[in-house]
Amino acid sequence: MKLNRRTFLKLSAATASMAALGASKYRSVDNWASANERPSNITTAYSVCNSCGNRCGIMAYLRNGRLWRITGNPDDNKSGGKICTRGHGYAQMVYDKYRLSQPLKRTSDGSFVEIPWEQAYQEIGDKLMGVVRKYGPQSVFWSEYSKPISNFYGARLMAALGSPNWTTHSSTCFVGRNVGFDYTLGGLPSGDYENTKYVVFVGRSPADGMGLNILKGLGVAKKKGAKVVSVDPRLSYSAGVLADEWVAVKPGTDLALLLAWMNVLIAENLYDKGFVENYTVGFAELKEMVKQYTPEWAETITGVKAEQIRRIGRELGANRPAAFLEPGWHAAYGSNYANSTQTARATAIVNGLLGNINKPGGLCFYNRVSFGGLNPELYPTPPASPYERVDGAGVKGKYPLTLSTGLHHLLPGLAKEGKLKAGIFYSVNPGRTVPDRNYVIEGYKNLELTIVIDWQMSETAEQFADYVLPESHPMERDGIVEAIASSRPQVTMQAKVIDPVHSGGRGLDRIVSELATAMGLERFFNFTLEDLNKAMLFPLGLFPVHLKSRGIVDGDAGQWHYEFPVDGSGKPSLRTKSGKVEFFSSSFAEHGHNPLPAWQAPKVMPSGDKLRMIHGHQAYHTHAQTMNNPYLMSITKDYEGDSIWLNTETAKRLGISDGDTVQVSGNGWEAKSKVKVTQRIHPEALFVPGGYGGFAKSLVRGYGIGVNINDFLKHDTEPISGHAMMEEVLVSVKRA
Amino acid sequence: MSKYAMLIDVNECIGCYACRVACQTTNDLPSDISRIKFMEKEKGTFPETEIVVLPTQCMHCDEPACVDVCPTGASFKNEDGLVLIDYDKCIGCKYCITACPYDARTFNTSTGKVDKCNFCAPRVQRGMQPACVEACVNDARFFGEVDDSNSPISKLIAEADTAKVGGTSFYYKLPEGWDESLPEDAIKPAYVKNLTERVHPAGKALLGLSAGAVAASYVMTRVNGGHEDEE
Repeated sequence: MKLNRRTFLKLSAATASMAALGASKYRSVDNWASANERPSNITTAYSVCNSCGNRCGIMAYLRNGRLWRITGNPDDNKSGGKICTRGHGYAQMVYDKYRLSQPLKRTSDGSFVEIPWEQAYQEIGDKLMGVVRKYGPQSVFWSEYSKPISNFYGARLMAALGSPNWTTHSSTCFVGRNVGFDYTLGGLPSGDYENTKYVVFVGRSPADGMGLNILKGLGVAKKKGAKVVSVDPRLSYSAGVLADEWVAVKPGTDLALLLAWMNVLIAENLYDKGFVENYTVGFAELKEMVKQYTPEWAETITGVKAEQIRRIGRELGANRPAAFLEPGWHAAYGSNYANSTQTARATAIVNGLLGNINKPGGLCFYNRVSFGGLNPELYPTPPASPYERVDGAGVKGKYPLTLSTGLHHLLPGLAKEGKLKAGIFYSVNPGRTVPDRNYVIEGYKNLELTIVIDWQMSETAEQFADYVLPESHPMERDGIVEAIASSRPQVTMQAKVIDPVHSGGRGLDRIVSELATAMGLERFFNFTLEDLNKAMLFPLGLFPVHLKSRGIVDGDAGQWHYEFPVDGSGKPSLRTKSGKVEFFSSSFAEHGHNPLPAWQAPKVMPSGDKLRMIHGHQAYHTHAQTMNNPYLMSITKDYEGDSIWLNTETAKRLGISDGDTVQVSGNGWEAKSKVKVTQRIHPEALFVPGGYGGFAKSLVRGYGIGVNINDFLKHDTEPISGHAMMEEVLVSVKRA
Repeated sequence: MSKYAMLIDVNECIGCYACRVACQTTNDLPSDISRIKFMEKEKGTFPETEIVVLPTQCMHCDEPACVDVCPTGASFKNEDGLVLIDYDKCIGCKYCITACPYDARTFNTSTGKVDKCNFCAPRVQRGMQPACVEACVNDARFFGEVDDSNSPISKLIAEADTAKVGGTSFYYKLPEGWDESLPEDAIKPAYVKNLTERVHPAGKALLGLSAGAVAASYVMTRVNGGHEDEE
């Protein structure tokens, strides 16, 4: 057809009529939707998300047998029917092309070759037993990112070998918080968010670090008029969106703020006198100590205005006992500053003054179900190791007050000293997530045998593994049953959702049992994961199939009451030495630490153009684990999520503009980064997001993206809880 | 026939991107294509700083510019108020991408077609909520029928702090003092106005060279194969 004006106009008219045709064909939402949907068979299955330590209940949707999407399990008290960004992305990794599928062995030229499982077990078993015979079982360690499956199998394997060194990531995460709370409140309570009138987050950001149950509870409380306060050197999404008020504290000085709140509560008689009298020890000493810590004093330390500190102190007192300081996680006192353990104690103490323990809207020690266990007559329990932990956790004269999960950031140094000779790393990546890259890599390279078990490569695997054993993806395997502490206790389990995508991967239960068998330790692993789960569930009258078919099952753990814990004779029975809230800690005194959380400055303080480097989660990444996740890394890419943050005034002084590339230097390390210039951060701080700075070449999507605070840190250890002091670092920054 | 609308309560949006990834997986999108975009704004001086995160996506305009410029009729608005794409007709010319005032359309390289939010029509058809609404971890998103004045979304729309993006099916609740962050009313780009009001219908084919040619050849093929009664 020749295109003249007439036909051209006709064509255009035809176009218009076709548009009309299209509209008529798909008039309503129904017929368009039907026409655009693939024929599919949708099924669902319950499981537990593995993308972080929260372990939220999920529902997986399968389309024609293939994992399609996940949602939160609405019955789960932890997820409340939602699942976060990371969870959505993590689940999809089951099909990722970069997953490991076969055991790998390092060759003499440094590269890896695939080997069969049987060869891997045989070689590793022989070498591991060789290390045990030559250097003793205390020269072997297990290191993990704490998960229920490895809490059991890793610890049991170490016990079977005679090693005391089962270790989790706690010393670079939350150990300061736990030790502080353990020696004050006898454990870590949960916030009664839904019923609270006033909650203060000291450092923790549930909108970035993710706490789905917290978001849900705050939503309910805020509708009833509750106030939320966020103490953070950075206007996080919690401080900026969830909170009614931001307390822009100078990083590392939260302790001064907490001491001033104690001062206000006591000086103005706002504390709970009855509670203090009946359920606490050391009030007189505390009262005497905090006299000096006025809000005016705290202003000079924290940079927060005295009137703001005083007003919040009064508001806490006015709203008690339905007011609490949230127990936190990593940020202000998990493992960041020289004063972190005492800051955790101070947080717990303010709660004690508010008398909010097991009160509506306060902090509650909820019940959890008691599981059974394997019958030792049929399944012999390996004896506890006769040796002391090499890292000194729980050892007199070293770190007697810290957790039994050990101090994993000390392990590279102990390897260098020759005290450790072989290690197994499970789903943990100290090569990237532990401070001081060179210390970590050079230390661990001294090991005679290094085994990594994971479903993907990592800096750890690339830098110093001798063997890499591919675990199946959590979507492909069952886990160990889990108890959810709550006013309505629940039981759940990670359950296999799809058949393995790779035939080569195996669950940790199988890997450990088969490796133990190769070492002649099969007597301690003569059961399956199913046997174990059945034994654990037996006292509850449940079977694994109940959890698989229902996802979450309510557990009978006795009726929850808002009452201070007491024993049979009515005596206070918190799990502290006295059974009461310990304002004064005789345990701390006994081991040479201040029994009261007196003000203590962080180890280093910013001055001039030296800024404190701080770090924190993004809602869409879990440490370094998600650096190769295409869904999550595309968010980083689209929104320049790897940019470091600098305060607007500080940037102006340094001649730096938003979007510039800057050079950051500190402790002998230098790195370049894009910078976000913002009013959302303290002028003395430089914020580094997430777990970036990947240097594992096989994690291609995260390789070379962003910087990591661990590179700017020097190996160090705080003396009470033994944490890694991960924000005791000053850096300078200039335009690159 | 129903009239659907979406409302985002910016007071509750924590900028976590859960809706983005849930949308991607639900709608089988490649990981680097998102139907939802996020605008983050801050104001004030430290420590009196405030932020908002404003998610945007297809606003399902009343008079969509994307439909006007689509040379093949692939983009259309249905009776339920949804702007949809007939993927059989989309030739990937990308006119709609440039015409959209909300930057809501992207080119999906894996399909060679344009992609955008369809309010999860296949889910809505089954009485479910769109994936982004279901996934929102802080209950910032709402969706429903606005014809029914008793529907939850109608009640939210009726509240004083709800603002409508003029000429669209989208509503926002903004924190106090952030009214200026509301996306502009759906105003068609000038060339789209010219196209529809003055040079239409011939103008459509003159919009550009390559895509115009593709469109023309596509239409010619159809016309040649159809019943053309020449004068």
